[in-house]
Order: sequence, then structure tokens, then C-alpha cells
Amino acid sequence: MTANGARQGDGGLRVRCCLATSCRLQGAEALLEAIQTPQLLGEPGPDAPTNNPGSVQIRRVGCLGLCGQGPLLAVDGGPDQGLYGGLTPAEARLLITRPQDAVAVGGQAPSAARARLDRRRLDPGLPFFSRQQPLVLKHCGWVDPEQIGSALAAGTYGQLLACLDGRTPAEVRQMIQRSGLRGRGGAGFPTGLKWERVAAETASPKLVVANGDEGDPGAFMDRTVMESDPHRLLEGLLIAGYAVGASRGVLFVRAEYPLAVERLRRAIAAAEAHGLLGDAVAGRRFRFRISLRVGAGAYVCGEETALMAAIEGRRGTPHPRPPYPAQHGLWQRPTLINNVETLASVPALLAIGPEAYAAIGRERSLGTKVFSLSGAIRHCGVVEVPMGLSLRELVEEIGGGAPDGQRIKAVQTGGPTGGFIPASRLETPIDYEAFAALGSALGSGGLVAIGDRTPIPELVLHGLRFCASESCGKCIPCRAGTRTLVALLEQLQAGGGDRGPDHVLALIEELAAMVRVASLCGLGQGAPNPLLSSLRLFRAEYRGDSGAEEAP
Amino acid sequence: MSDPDKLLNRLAPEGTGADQLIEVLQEWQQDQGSLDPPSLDRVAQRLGLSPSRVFGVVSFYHLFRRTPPALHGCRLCQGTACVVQGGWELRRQLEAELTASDWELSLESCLGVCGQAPMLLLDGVLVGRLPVQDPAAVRAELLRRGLPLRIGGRTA
Repeated sequence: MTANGARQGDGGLRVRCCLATSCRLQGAEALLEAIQTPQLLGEPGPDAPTNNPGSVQIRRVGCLGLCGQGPLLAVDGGPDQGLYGGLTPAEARLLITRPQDAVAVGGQAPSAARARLDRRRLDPGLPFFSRQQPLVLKHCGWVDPEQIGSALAAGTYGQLLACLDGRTPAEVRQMIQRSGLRGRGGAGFPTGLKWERVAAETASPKLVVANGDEGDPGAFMDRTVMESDPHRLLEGLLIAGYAVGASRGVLFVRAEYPLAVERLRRAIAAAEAHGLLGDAVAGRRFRFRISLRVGAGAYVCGEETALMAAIEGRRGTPHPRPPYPAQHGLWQRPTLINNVETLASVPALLAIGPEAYAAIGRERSLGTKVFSLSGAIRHCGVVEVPMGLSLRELVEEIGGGAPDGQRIKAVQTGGPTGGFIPASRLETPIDYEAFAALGSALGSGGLVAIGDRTPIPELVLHGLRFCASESCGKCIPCRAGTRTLVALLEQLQAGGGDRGPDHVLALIEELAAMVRVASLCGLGQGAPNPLLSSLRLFRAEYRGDSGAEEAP
Repeated sequence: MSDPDKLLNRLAPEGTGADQLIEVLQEWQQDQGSLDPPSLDRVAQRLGLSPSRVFGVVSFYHLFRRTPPALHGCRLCQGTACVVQGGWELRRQLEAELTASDWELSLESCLGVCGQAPMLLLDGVLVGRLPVQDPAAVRAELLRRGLPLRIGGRTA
């Protein structure tokens, strides 16, 4: 197994330990300590036969995918090969003993302890693993995100060098155009076209901004990329800078992701030390520096003009476009703003070639898309799948369907400004246009499965309260409209008042339509979407009918 | 907690630009715990900004606070995945039972650890997959983790 240079080596036991946020919070560090210094466990005693700890190769890696069953630990090669979920430190200790030397754990006989260990081993045949097509996430879980050497060994920065040495900026932009890549942050604007517009500007210096302000509840794809493979993002940012003629990049990351911030800081410093950032990138005639800015907690800052205001140290309020960031962006300079996943897709698609990338997917939605699966679903975690796959395959096969005793009645996509897709429409392919046609949105990739016990109106009200509290206040349709919608929904929940639920529903629909067209930015324009989408699908639930079912 | 004058010189030496305002405020809050009016005045003066501009930024972003935090924090996630898995029930229970003055309950829009829904952080330590259909079991688990919940006006 030498797929990215990460699995070479001989003898000893090779272990990868996930140290991304979710596993860390589930005890990954204790697990790591147990396998690094097994004698500290005290049991079974220093004389027990074990592998020499020095012969255990431990790699600290990023996300191993199945976050819901962490802490995750992978063993490469040998009889114990496989991915393990939910190991205790004592069980992890078992893994690094020779099979024949297996010792008692927790008072159980060795055979019972081994059996317990085997139950922690996840089935590699699960569609969760076998149905993915990792391009952006190819190195996630394989490289050590805190060691640039690990990223370099896996080939990171190779596409940057290929661009600097063998392609003009125009050729790189052409390749992005041919790949069909569209913005992965939600809007789906063609990435190559965006790059062309910034490249066409003559003012300098130009800037490239990576939008890592992943604020949609239920979305953690970009966190996974930033925590698990930060150098891939830096490489994408560098290639974008080269292609549009920029000399400076800014990474904007939300403060709720402290581990991503720490690892990106470390990655930037390491890239500088390796000459991959600076006045002569990799010794070539290309100057590029990257700085990192941390958000202060505002959902609206995911909107590009608000994000620029935040970087400039102001209130993160959006402004109407035009002027577009391509003309008057950060500090009034021509600015390219791309989402983290979009930028991380760039080296991935160049590596396989734009034509091969464009051969994945369907119609105008090409390549792969990263999703985070959560809610009423068996396998919570981060997955990357080809566009065009049906939602049913994503939710029921890869996600494993609903947990025991529940039934999925809908999935919410596109976060609080997206919409619902009912269980009856799960044959819908993963496609920007197909999702929009159903009144939802592909969005950034957060997918929350809604079980049949969750009342949809209450969930919609929850999302609207979120939008109302995150409204920046600049435009009245959003500021006042979202609050009034919240009040009307509360009135509806209380029975609808004197004139009954149908009257309130009519008011809600009229106001929601107005907020959608009259708001200044995507937050206000999108805030009524889950409401309108669910009113079409689950209207009976809003009218308080018991046993409500979705509309045909 | 550093001396405010030294802190100001460290975070915002003369010549620091207005676009550094958010970074300076973040570091200031990290050191001092909160951003009180005298602190805001100092920062405004040093960066050559009006007090209203600085106040406007502080009041805009959720992570800035103008009052000191409690000794302990209970951060309850109210992201979509958490609420569909019982986060509302958890919120009602905590709002009723967490009355200790040295604990602060804060609601988070999404902490991005959706696989553990419904989840919360007690002083940074994750407690996930709480059995919300059984409030007594939730209470027992959280008490065991050191969260002083009360029931019927007395410590359970």
C-alpha cells in the first residue's frame, strides 16, 4: 500500500490515530498516550510481553471519517489491520501487544478481551467506506497535519510546482474552467469564471481569500479539511494566487474552530520555513504570502462582502454588489474569494486532470462533493462522493439510514438558508440544479437527517430564530422580516389566534416571499427557504393536524 | 491577567492599524476575561478610532463579552443535528436545573461535533449522546461530570 507514500515501512505495527476535533473530544489523546507509553497503564505490569513500543509506528492524523464512532484508530497491516471505533485506552493497549501474548483486560480472559476488541473493529465493507470517492479528502486520515514532511511525502505542493514550472497562469485558469468546478460554499458559481474576472483586473496588488467561516449548523466539511490536511488548502490558495496574479492570501477561519486555527498557523509557518511561501515561492519567480484571520462569531461573515468587512476590522455587514470583490474587494483591491473546499479541490483536480474530473458527476454539477452527515442517521461523519449520486445512496447506504426505531422523514440541506427534501424524493441526484428545483439548495454540504419524531414547524422556527439573531441589521426586510416571521410562527403554534391558522399561514407566506426578494444578502434571501420548502411539503404539520404526512 | 498598559503596548504598539481592531480585542478579552468600557476606550485611543466604532464592533460579534465570565462554563450546542436528537429537551432541563451562580449556560449555534448529538461542553470537556428521553439519567450523568444541577430547589 503505497498510495500517497503514507503506508510504507516494514516491521512493527503501524497505527494511525485520529486527532481531529471530534475524536479528540471523545478521548483520542488518552488513547494515544496509552499506545505510546503502555507501561503507564500499570496493567498488566512491566514484565508482560509486548511489542517493543519503539517498534510501534504511530502517526497522528486528521479525520478518519466516521466521527460518530470515535475515537478512531487505524491499524495498517498485520492480523489486527482495520479501523477501530470507540476503543478504551486499555483496549488500545491490547492492540499493540502481540496477538499470542494478548492479556486480560478489565478482568476478562484474553479470548474474551480479544473478542471485545474485534467488536470495535469497523467493517471495511461498509458502504460508508467503500462508496466514497475521496479526491479532496484523499490525504485526510493519512498525513500528519502538523508535519509538513508528511504532506510533502504524500505529494502535496506537487501541483503547485507543476503550475509554476510548466503552465502559464492563463493555462491554469483554462484547466479550472475545463474541470467544470463550481463554488463549493453553496452558491455554485463557476470557479474558473471567477478566476478569469480577477485575472482581468489590472490594478495590483491582488488578493486571494479563503473563506473558512463555515457557520451552517450541521456543516463540518471545511473544518475537516483545515484540521486534517491544511497544506492541501495552502497549495490551493497558492495555485489560485498564481493563476490570478495575486501576491497575498488571507485565510479567514471561524473562532469556533480552534484546532483548525492552530494547525493552519503551524502549516503556514512550516511552508514559510520550507520556502513555499515568501518572495520566491520554491525558488521560482512567484511571490506569495498568507496571513490568517480569526472570526469573532458572526454567521453572516460567511457572505463574501461581510467577510471582507470583518477582515478589515469592521462590523461584518454585507454591501450590495456591484462592485464585486473582483473589482473592489479587500482594501479596495481586486480580490478572489473562494470557499475552503473549492480551493482544496484545485490541486486534487489538477492531479487527475481537468477532463477526468469533469467526467465525474452529471450535467452542470461535476467532480466530487464533500458532505457532513448528521442528525437521525446511523453513520455520522464526513464523506466525499461523486456528484450525481442519488441522495438515497448517500443517506441510506453510505449514511446507513435512520438509527434503530426511527424513520427518516426528510433531509435538510443547505443549512438554515436551504430547505427540506422529503423521504419520497431521495432519488434526487446530488446536483446544484436538482436540489434547487426542489426548493432546497446543495449548500456547502451539511446534511441533517430529520427523524419522524421531530416536528418540522418547530425545527423551522428554530432555524428562523437563528437567522433573526444572526441578521446583521443593515437591511430592514431581513432584520424586521425574520423577527416577524418568528412571531407569526409562534402565533401559529399557539393555535393561530382569532382568525385561525389559515389566516396566519397566508400572512407567513406573503411575508416570507417578500423577505426572500427584498433582502440585501444571502442570509435574508435564504432565511425563508426552509419555511417555504416545508410549507409545501409538510403543511398539515403547520395546521396542527395530528398524524400529519408529507404532501404527495 | 496582565497590567492593562503593558497589555496595550504588547497587543497594539504605536502605529497598529485600524484593521487590527478585531485581533486586538480578541487578545485583550483572552487576557482580561472581558471587554469593559475603560478597556474599549484605551483600545480606541491607541488605534485612533472613535469609541462608537469600537463599541459597534464589540456589540456586533457574539464572541465578544462586556461582562466577566462565570468561573465555569456549560456550552450547550443547539445546532440542527443536536436539536433533532433531543437538544431542545436538554435545553429546557438545563435552564430549569442549572441555577448555580458560578456556572454560566451558553447556547451555541453549532460546535461542529454533530456525531455526538445532543452534546455540550463542560469547561471544554465533551459530554455527548445524552439520553434525553430519561431526564433523571441525564441529571445523574451530568452530576457525575460535576455539573451542579438542582431539582425542586435543592441540590439533587
